Amino acid sequence: MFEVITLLTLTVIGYIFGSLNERRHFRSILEREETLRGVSTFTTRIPPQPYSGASHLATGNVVISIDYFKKISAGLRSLVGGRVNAYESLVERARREAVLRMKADAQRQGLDMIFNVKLETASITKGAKGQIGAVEVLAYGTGLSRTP
Amino acid sequence: MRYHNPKIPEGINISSTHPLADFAWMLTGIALGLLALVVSAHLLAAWLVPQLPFQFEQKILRTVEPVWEIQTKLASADEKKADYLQKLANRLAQQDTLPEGLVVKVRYINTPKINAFATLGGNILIHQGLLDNLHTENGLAMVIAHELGHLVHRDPLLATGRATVSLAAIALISGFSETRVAENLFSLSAQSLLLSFSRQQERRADQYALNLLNGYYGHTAGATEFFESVETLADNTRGYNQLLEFFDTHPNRGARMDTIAATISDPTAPLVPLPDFLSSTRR
Repeated sequence: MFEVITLLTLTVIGYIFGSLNERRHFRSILEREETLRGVSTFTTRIPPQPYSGASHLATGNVVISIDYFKKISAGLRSLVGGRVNAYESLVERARREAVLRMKADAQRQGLDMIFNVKLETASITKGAKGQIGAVEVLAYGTGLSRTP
Repeated sequence: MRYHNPKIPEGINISSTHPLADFAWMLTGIALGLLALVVSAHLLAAWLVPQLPFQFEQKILRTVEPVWEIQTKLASADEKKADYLQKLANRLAQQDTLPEGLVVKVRYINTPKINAFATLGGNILIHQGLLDNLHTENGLAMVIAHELGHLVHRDPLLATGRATVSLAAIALISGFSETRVAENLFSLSAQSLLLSFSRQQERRADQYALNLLNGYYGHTAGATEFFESVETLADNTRGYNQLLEFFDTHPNRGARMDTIAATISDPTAPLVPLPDFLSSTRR
């Protein structure tokens, strides 16, 4: 009985704090995406016109942890299959946050274009038992300036 | 080359289902699936168990060290009491033709626990606490005959089979899911499954026992002795603690006592007292 109560409490706490955090994070992401619209990102490796100005590495890195509710939810999902609703929003947040941090990094260096943008993801716990999982996303690219 | 900087619409990468709704659907689906699995396993077990020979039960027992082996090692064995109980069981068993292969073995366990139960391989376990709370052979015979009824009806094998299936279902789920949710949720129900027989099984065993008593003594007077002593004992703390296991495994004692009492046609028939050596020195 004690185990069930612990489980329920953790799940409820996980849901309350997890969803509050997620909502706040998405609001912040939308805001900052608007303010950083001026920094453009490109996946092409070479700029379309010859460029002779300064170029610097721009990086953005983030680690986001899952909460207990997401863990349980994904655990149940693994029994029946389908879209892992709980992790989709997590990975989306991590990806957009990493890109935003990369853009902010470029802006700090006085750059407003990032070419050859790449994303790397890693799992912090690599599915180890008894660990709460966390996802890492690293965004990086070559920062250039429109007015060299 | 012209570049655009469009605003990407929201909600492409995330399912629109509310996480709680998603969770609720999965939980209900899995719970229903599990229920269907366990229910069908139970039905299958009821059909399969009577077809298995008694040797099969012995074979299962050989793979584990039975609980009574451990308990008799801890407490001193008492040949005289064990012998008396075995002989009483044999005489009762003669009132009915036992199914082929069933060899009844009564085990005496020297602990103050007030309980007796039937388990795999034709074994009946009787605790000293039970003997201390009975004064007539008739009362003891009712308890032993009741356990004989469980053995004849293959109730221990059925209970073990069902518990095993439920545990297997749980293991299956906890093996697949990275969390131990299912294990935590269902371990409780599995534990209670392991211990108890159903009300219907208890009623059948009672009925069987009354028939044996009628054949052996010619009447069923004294059959309710154990239940009566349980009722008085349950009122004090010490007695209650020693009865905990009995309460766990027998939830419907009041109704059973009334049913048994109703069948006693000759309540004034003479009862056989229990020999003195059966009681513990503690009394």
